[in-house]
Amino acid sequence: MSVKWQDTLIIDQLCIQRGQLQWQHDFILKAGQLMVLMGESGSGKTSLLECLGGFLPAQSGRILYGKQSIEQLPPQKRPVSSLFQQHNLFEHLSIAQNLRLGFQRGQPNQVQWRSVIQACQQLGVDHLIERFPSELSGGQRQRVALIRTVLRDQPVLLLDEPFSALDEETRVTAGDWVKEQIDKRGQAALLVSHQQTDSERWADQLIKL
Amino acid sequence: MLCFNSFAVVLALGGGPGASTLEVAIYQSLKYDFNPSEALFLAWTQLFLAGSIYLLLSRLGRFQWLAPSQSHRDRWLPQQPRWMVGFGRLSYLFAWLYLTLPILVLFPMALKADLLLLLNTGILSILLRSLMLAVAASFLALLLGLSILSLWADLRHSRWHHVIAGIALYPLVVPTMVLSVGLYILMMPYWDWYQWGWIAIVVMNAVVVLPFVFKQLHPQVINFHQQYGRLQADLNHDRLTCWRKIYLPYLKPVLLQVLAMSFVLALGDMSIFAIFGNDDWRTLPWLIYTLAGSYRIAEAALVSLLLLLFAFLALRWLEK
Repeated sequence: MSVKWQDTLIIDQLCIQRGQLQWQHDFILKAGQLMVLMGESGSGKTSLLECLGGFLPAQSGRILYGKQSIEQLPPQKRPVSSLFQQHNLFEHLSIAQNLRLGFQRGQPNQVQWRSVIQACQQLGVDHLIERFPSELSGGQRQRVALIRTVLRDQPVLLLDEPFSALDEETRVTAGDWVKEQIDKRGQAALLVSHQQTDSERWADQLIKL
Repeated sequence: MLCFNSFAVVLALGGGPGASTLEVAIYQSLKYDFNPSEALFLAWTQLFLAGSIYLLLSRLGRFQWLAPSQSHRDRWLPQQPRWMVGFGRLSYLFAWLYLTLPILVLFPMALKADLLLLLNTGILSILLRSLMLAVAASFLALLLGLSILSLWADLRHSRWHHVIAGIALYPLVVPTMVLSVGLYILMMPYWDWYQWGWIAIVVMNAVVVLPFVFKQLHPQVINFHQQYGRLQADLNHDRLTCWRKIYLPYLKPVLLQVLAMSFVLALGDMSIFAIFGNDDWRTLPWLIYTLAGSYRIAEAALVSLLLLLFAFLALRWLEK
């Protein structure tokens, strides 16, 4: 059983700029909480996740996880796990190899691997793990990438439209699973979505940009 | 550029000063007349001419030197009139004959070879030496190429990218013979070339195929970083894990191709051996040259076939 995180993510007057556009964010996200980010295209949802992930430098402000200030850290050193809109799976590696890469040295221990297999069963992708990403549909790829992102040993999850390729039923299953996991593991999750129902069903907090 | 530097062809087929080239003249002045200053002068002339050709060609067009083939991405076939298709096929036939006839003609000739005489030349140890040198050179070329590209990927500034690409590509501008002669004369006072020439043969062969290795691997490395740069940063694995479990499996197909080509090029090297080698430990191409030079054409044909066989096997094995 992995540890349960308890720290809080604090975004303090974080100023992000992309081209001519500028946004400022202030919020607190506690361990085990899920925040849904909604807004039109170009409203800065992805930019916020990129900034938290370390891929877009902040103009000013602070990002704190617990007592640690992380806004100056490179992406590799931040306590985050990201699901991007695309290129989440290495196309030349099998699904099983892709899933293993979520863990240290690409070698999950027995407990970790069991939890991966259980998640695959729950989300209906367990029969696909010997295949390659190119043999999977968009929705199947998204679920595999979601499992790896969530089950990594990282306390902050940044999920950029994780259900966009899923049908309604699978979407509910996947969303419920994410909610259950972050609740169990104490992760703080930010989730970008265009669906109102997502925020109604799972959000502890909602930000409309 | 490649024809301009065709040492082996001129050395084997040329005769006398009337049919010589700069490269052969450099070789002769260094190894026969032992006149380093003349060799250096000729080497500078060769460098000047080759450099001018390169500059001229790169100014005139955006020709991609040794770039990997793009044909697999474009499967469009235009509709052509019948006569055009016929003409194209005929051209292919002539090109095919032009390329294969010199090889096909070896077969009847090789049948007349005196095997005992060949065994007396120490062909087995020569074959083994050739293979070892070629394997070492191709692995070293791959290592150099990967190291340079790794440095390239780590640097963000495009100015440095040009510098690094320049390092990898400069053997293309500077002819092999010029590089070899420069190194030979530079190190002559400190280094026993007779004993340690094989090291230079491995290193120089690796350097010579480096532009090819770099140009083949470069697009793959760019693709990898564009597609997976963020994912790799997010997953935060140590360098060894990244290389072993992600990067090398990604590059494996192109690495094998590059390895095969480097091996074949190094196996057939003449010009570097001509400078650093000696008759006591010959390689296959040099054995062919000496056999042909002493009018043992049938034996030379058989050894040529042997060389071709190993080149073919390497390509089949690594590119399958």
